[in-house]
Amino acid sequence: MNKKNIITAFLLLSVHYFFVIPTCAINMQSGEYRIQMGTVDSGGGKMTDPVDNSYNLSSSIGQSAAKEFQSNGYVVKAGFQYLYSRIPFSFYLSTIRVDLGTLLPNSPRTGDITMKVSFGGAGQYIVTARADTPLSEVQGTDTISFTGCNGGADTCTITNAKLWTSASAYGFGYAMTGQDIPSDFISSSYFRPFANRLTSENPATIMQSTNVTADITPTPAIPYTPAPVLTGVPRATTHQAIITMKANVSGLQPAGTYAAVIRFLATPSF
Amino acid sequence: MKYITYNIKKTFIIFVLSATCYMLHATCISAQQVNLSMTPPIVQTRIKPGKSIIIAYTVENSGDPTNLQFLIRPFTPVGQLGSLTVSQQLEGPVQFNLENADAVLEKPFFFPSKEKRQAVLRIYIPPGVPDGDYYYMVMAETVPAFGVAGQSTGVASASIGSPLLISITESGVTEVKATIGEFSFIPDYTFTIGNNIVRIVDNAKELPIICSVRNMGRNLIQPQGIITDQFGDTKNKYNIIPQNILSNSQRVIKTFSDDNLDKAGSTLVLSHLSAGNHRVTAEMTFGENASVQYKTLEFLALPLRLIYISFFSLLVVLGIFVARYLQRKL
Repeated sequence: MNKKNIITAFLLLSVHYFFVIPTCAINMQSGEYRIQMGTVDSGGGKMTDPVDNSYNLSSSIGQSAAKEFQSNGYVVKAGFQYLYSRIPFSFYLSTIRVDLGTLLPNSPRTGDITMKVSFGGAGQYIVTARADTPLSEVQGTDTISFTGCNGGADTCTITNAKLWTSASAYGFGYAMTGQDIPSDFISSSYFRPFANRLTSENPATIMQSTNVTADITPTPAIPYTPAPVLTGVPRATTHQAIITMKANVSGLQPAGTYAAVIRFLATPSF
Repeated sequence: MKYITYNIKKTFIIFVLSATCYMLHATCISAQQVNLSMTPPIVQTRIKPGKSIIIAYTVENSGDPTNLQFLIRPFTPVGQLGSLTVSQQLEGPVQFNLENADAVLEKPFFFPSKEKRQAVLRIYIPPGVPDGDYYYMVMAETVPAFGVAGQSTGVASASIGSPLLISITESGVTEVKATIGEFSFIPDYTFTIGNNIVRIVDNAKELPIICSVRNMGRNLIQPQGIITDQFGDTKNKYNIIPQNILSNSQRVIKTFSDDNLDKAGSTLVLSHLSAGNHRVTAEMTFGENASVQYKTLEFLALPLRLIYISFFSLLVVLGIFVARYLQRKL
């Protein structure tokens, strides 16, 4: 009885395996075209090669997303569709406190923060800075205003750095050195005042990269993935810059302990 | 006396041993660092009014322990290179709420080192909100910590953000209304022959091509297509990166080309140009069922430096001949 059952099962399984059709993922790529989009809700309709009509493709991707939208009322995509990356976007500050020490008249003091942005999963990024207030007395109302740099032809603004080398030019500002910094920071002697939140000034961009972090060198070794095919292998890119804060006071500056909050915001671009 | 000396010696040895042990176990103290990471780096959603969705953001603290808070602010694109500005106040018709049991929007919480925290964000679109795009930045911000002791200080607060692009649509259909805004390059020389404008570039130099897309619609678009540099029968094709062009904005697009990696503000950098006539064509679509748009540039790539040197050499030779001729005459 048991033998009979085993033989029957064996025969059934054999028949089943004979009729199995091998399946595999289809790559959406050929020598003639490559589907760049990795989105679930784009596409749809007829796609043609805009150059010489060497191919055309009817895609139902958009239709399925349209169905998804109709049934759920939403479609969500997370991450950059043209970058296949698991590298998170990250932001590093070497310190959250820049001690400018005891400020003496006509003796500028400086302090640094090293900033690093890792944007393997983002491609583009922006870092902005804005001060909540000028350097303000912690237990009082006196302030050290933002710098105008050397003044005259060397008067700096929140978007235009100028020379600040004079010991008799007072205020609070910053310089930038390193990667992806604005071009007006010609040298470490070029400073800007911080954008002031109190006066509703927009934060100033202090680091920015518009380059997409994709190594797009065409290579036949691009591993085939089921779908969709994404072009480019992102690099684990980290860019670094140093912000140097500087304060200089006159002999008329009231004694006290001064502080200012500087807010740095790092975001991937859209 | 001997006993007292022995005691001092003993105490000294114990002290040295204790100090050594203490030193060996001493840990390095450094300035308080911030190191935050956030995923996903961007979220794009298309949603009907009256619906809500949940998106989970993960923030990791690889720096020192800190106080952190989650914020959401609208943003608008600035310029043509993907810059943006974040508003100071949360405004707009979209409603946000954190579903976490242990975190509330704009309320700081203690975030230990080497830990991850999820912000489970519910996004609700009230009924009746007009169709269109709404752009927000989801941010994790450290709370500034004052610890001033007689020193003037700049206190830093670090925020990391993730753009949230919301397209509100009742029907699921989004508006595609865009055009190629600019397709240009800077030639070395330009002159007109009849009705034709001839642009000449030095083939030894790199030639940045700028191509921007203007989105005049109320929804974001992602241009797709190619830029082709045709020289004779040779065609070099560069795929356009399908980046987001937000509603009512213009953006310089980029191509998948290694050559332009360090050229901010340009779409493509052509280099090692062959001498002769080049025809550069941008062909792209901005959405499903949208027509293909074309723009073309033509220029003549010439070995200008070689021409200059040859011309200068010819002048020198001519000068020598003229000088010799005049000497003979005199």
